Amino acid sequence: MVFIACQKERPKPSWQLDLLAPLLVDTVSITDVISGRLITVNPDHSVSFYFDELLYEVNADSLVKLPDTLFHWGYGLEWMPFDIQLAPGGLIIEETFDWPLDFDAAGMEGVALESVVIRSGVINFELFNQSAGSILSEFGINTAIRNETDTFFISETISSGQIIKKAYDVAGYRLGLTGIEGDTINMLNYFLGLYADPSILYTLVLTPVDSFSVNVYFEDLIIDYAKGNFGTNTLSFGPEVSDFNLFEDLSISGFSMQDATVLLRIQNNYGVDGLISLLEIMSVNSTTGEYALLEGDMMDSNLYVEAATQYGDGLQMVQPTENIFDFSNTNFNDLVKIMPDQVSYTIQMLTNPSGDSIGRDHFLYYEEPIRVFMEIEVSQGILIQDLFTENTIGWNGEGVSFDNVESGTLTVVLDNGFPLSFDANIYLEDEDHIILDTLVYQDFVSGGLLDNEFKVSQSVESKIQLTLTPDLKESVVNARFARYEMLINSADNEHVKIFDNNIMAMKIIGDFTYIIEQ
Amino acid sequence: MIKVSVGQIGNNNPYYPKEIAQPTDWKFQISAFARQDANSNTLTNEFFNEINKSGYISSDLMDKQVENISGKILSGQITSIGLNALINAKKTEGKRYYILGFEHQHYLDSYIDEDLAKMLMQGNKPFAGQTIQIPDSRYYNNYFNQLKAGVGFRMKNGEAVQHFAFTVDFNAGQNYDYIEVNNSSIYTDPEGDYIDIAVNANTKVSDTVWAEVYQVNGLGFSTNLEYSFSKTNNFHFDVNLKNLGFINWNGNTFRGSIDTSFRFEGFTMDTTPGEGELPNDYSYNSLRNFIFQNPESGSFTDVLPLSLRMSGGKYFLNGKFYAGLSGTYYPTLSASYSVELFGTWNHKDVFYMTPIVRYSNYKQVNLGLGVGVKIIDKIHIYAGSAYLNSFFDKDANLGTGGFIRLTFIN
Repeated sequence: MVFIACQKERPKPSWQLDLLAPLLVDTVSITDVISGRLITVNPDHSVSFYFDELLYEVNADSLVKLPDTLFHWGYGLEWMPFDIQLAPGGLIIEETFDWPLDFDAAGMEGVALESVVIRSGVINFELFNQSAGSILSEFGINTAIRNETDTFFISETISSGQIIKKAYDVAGYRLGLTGIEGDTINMLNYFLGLYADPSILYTLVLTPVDSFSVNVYFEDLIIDYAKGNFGTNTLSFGPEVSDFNLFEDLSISGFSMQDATVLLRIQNNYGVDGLISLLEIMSVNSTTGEYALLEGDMMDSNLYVEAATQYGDGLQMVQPTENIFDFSNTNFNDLVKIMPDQVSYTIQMLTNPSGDSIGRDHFLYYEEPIRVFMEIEVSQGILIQDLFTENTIGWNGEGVSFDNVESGTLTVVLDNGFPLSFDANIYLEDEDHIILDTLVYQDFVSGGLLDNEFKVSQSVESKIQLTLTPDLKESVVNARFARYEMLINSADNEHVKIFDNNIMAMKIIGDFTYIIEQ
Repeated sequence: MIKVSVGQIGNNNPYYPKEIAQPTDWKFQISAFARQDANSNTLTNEFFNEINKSGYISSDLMDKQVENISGKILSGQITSIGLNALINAKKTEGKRYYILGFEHQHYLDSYIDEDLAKMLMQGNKPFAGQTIQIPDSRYYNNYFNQLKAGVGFRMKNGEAVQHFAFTVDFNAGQNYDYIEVNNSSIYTDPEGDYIDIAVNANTKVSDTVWAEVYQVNGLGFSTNLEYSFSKTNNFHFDVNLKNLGFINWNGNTFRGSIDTSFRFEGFTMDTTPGEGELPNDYSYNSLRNFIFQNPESGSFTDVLPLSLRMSGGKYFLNGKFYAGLSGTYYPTLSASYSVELFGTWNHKDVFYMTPIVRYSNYKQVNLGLGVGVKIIDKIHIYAGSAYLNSFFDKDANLGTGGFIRLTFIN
């Protein structure tokens, strides 16, 4: 419909058109609205919710403890028939000797350690000088080495009649417990020397009534690593309370499940096997004051966990064992339903229960304790209340031109095939994630229609109409991301079933008057 | 007094075809001529004028135009403007003459299905829920310059005079634009959820920009043939075959063909920028680029808009009246024929007046008038229009145009 006279310029008339057309379309899948780490897709396309959450960690410090006392030694001079005189620096006594760690006295049976690395703690050194002059004391643990070359060694001067008590940090020291010859266990090798104070200007006179006593012991010792044989011991842990952040992390205010598979997975990073008894597991909602005790056959029964292994050269790596126990027949749902934020536990562990492990390959690392995880797989119905989720998807509106649009509306169509309803906000963001405009704000998107099995039988369409303002025109074209904020609820407040082909189709339809210019 | 008739290619006056000078009385004749016919079976003069003015077409005017649509819209315009020179041969004066000429021709021819036309005028929303059928629509726009050189022969046998003339033409094309859409349809979901498009179309364009008349986007050759037979003051018959030839178009060409159907549901939001974009402005060029996604370039050849014109008539009262019938057939155009019935009153070979009745594919009866004047035997002017009954009626279906010929004889 273009006509010309003699001029060779295409006529450029303009007129108004009423256009109605889909502009942009996208599909929102279940993984767009619920984190993929929480769901798994089964071969029948059903979607299971899957939670694998740490319930608690067993304190490693409890598994094996070094006795506090290293040794106590007294040295009297009553054996001397007469007084002796020592020039400054003169030798009183000098000894290198082995001294065992007394685990039996610490209540641990059958412990045979080869080495220990100390994570933190101190050695207290006490010396009482009952002589008439000042003495120099030197003390060392020849088999306590830090940074390969730094042997534990201290030197102190003690005045006449004085007691010295000093604490020395021993963090990082590796204690070799195989003795100086390397052929024994639980044994430390020491050095002790007493001398007349080299700095004095007089002669030290020692008499038969003089004596010296030395007391060395650990305090606040935490083991970073231990190797040997931990013996057969019953250890108790708890009651202890640990935070349980699952629901806080999910930002969900209500959760319930049907026919869930509940597993407790005990990850044993210790190089010793054991029998674990769960004496009490209790979930606590500290906000509401509600609590629930775990009940069922599995409670108080012996759960055998295999020992972890070490591998690798140099720095050893731990290969833990994963020991899985089915707690589906417990009342675990009751524990979850109260939306706990804490878990309290009391457990016992019998190490080396068969007692037949006589080698010295038991080990522990402080950083790698026993961890107890809760694995829940909900495939037969889940009730979600106010699960907050947000996600950002790519947006390309460059294909749309609103330059000649005079007026009109954009209709955001959300065809929801999820068995979930949404209170939705959708923002358009630029490449730096700065919000350009709001497409949807606090609009309710109905969940799909449910059948008798609480599966979606038909999607439900929600429409949100927006007046096409100049700002919105610009935003739709320039946006690079769309960010969802959604508060998710199970449709009809039911325990719904979700399938991976449940989708929400999001479409933007333009309905506007358009000035066409040829 | 006109005593003989001369059959002149491009110079022939069908309304009074007598030779305007004795064959031996002139050395050369130079004619400047122009003719334009613009017609539509549906579009109104007002609508056409608004388009040509490149103005804004108000909704009222558009609605009025849409109401006027019933069936396919056939619209077209043929423009011809040029110069012709006839040079009498010296050795065979009166029996042979040479022809030189230049002519600019412009053909615009469109045939648009009713639904498509309405959608183009109103948008797709008024048709949501309906299927817009496009069984057969075409648009053709072609203009070119023609340099002509030829020879004519005059043969007299008693009272009978025959002329045969031909030219060989060198054509310099400026613009060629053709698109046809067949068996296509568009369905818009009532809610705008999707648009189903079935399109079978092809296009050939010499250049997406309209060229100036001095630009060259294609070259070709053609011939014009003309034969006339007449008896003085008794009868006249001539037949003219024009634009038998071609142009090879080699500008910034665009050729595309598509036969597909698809459902458009919007562009996915994660489409890479630059891909699959909607047309920027829905202009003709943008839409063409949108539809034909993978065009080819490269030269192509197409025939010129051939025409076959036959004209005949009878003289009465010793040449004082001439009643005639002229028909033109355009085999390559949608508007393929026009017929004119006319009668010319000759007042002392000085003044001529020709009432014209015109009918064509556009299904319109147009009435017009031609007037001729001879000035001191040297200058002949003949001008008129076949559209006087519609020219000044803005609500009438498009029917405008006119012709003028100025001939200098020496």
